[in-house]
Amino acid sequence: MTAHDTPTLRMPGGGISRRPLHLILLADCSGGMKGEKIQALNYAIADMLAQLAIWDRAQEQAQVFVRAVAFATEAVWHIPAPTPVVDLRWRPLQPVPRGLTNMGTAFQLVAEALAPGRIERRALRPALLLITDGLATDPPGRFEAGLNALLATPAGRGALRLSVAIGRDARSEALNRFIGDPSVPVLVADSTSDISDRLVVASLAVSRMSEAGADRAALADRLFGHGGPGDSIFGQDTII
Amino acid sequence: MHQWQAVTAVARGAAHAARGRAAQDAVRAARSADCTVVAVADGHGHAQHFRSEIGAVLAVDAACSQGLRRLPALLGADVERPQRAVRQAFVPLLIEHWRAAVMGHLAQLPYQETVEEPLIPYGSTLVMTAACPPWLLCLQIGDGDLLVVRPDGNSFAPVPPDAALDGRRTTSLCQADAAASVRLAVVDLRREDVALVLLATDGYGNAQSEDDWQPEVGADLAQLAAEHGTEWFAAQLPLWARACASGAGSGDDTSIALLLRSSEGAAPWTP
Repeated sequence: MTAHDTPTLRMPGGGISRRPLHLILLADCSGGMKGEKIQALNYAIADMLAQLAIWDRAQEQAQVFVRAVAFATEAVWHIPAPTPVVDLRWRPLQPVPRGLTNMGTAFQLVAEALAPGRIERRALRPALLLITDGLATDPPGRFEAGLNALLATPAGRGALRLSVAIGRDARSEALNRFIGDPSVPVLVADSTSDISDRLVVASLAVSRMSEAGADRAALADRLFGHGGPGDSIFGQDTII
Repeated sequence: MHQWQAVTAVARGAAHAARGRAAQDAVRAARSADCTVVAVADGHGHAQHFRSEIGAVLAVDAACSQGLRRLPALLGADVERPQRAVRQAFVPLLIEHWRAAVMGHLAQLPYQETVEEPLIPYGSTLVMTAACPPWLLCLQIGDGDLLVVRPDGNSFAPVPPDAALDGRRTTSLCQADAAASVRLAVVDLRREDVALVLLATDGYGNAQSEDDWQPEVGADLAQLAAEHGTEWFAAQLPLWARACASGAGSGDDTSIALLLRSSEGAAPWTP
């Protein structure tokens, strides 16, 4: 080889790729979501995912994978497999007639998906976005059981957990317990037209705060107002 | 007679470059007549570790200088419990040397900021290996990878894992109880056929597509080592580091070091 030769890359191993960032949507499909609400929610989610896809292509640290759970009386996977956001075409959610708002079963499904060994060890901390228009209607103990199962997994416990309440009445202590950080407010959409704006804030939180080197405290203040989540949630690597 | 040669590379992460931030990784190799030492270090990215790029440099310097100075006497062929000897007689010296170097730097460049604990801003991990035949010392505090590769392509990670490391928080040289967080292993080269040792900061492992990348990387490295000499690795390693640090990989600072067994007499190559 001469000094002017450019060596050809021959790297050991199975190749490299960006670190996965898993976003899991937990969407309320109870009976109360019928009509304008579910239409607005579907529009807002599709718009949010399009924005995330733009971000995914533009940045150099993470590849966003999306899953979705639709919950009412029961919870089912709406998008079961982690799907690259750039490949995702949003399939509209449908409300369940007379369906209740049982969040515990949704937490349980997500807990199973985040169990050790179910997501990559090198994955960035996942982001969970809970969207609901009502108070939890779980049978006694089921909400707590589901939330405890979720928080029992390291990935669930470490996740960025955000919530959008559709209507002020939906802002509840249950959502605060899901978020688990008093400095992270429930994002309230006062009307269906506000849903999209709140999801934009959520997607900004998911994307920008996962960027290495981001000033997370400043971003949190900008997104959530003064006193938002600081390094306890979004910190760069630091000491134990 | 087998020689141990070192090849090293470091690349600034794409995320750091995009924000105009310096690389916070460091890598160093050094050799004496009876010992070869290689070390990588990763300064913590959190704002409270605002001098961690210095801390990382001081960490690899301490590993190489103290390794060459202390380990040959400590790791004689007749020592019965080398791991205990290193734990008792080397680890405290290594940490003390790093702390003294930090305080020396701090004396030259005092803080303008209010800092409660002077070591914290310099926080860094350290991964080092030292070939002092017949022993191979493998030592680590914090995250990163250390992989020992046999000529047949099988590999193993001699340093025990630390369940406390979660990808965001790490043990560190700047901790008050740093010595207790040091994990180490000593490999007997009379019993273990070692072709090479790979050391890397977490920017390398986080770039690998496979979660369990070590077996395939180990097998490929053994094959490459059988086909090529150190000059080839010296040309390749910067490419590997840049690829891992790029937007197609982890986007994080990436340091890679190889300690290669060779019958060549060439000196170790260090950038």
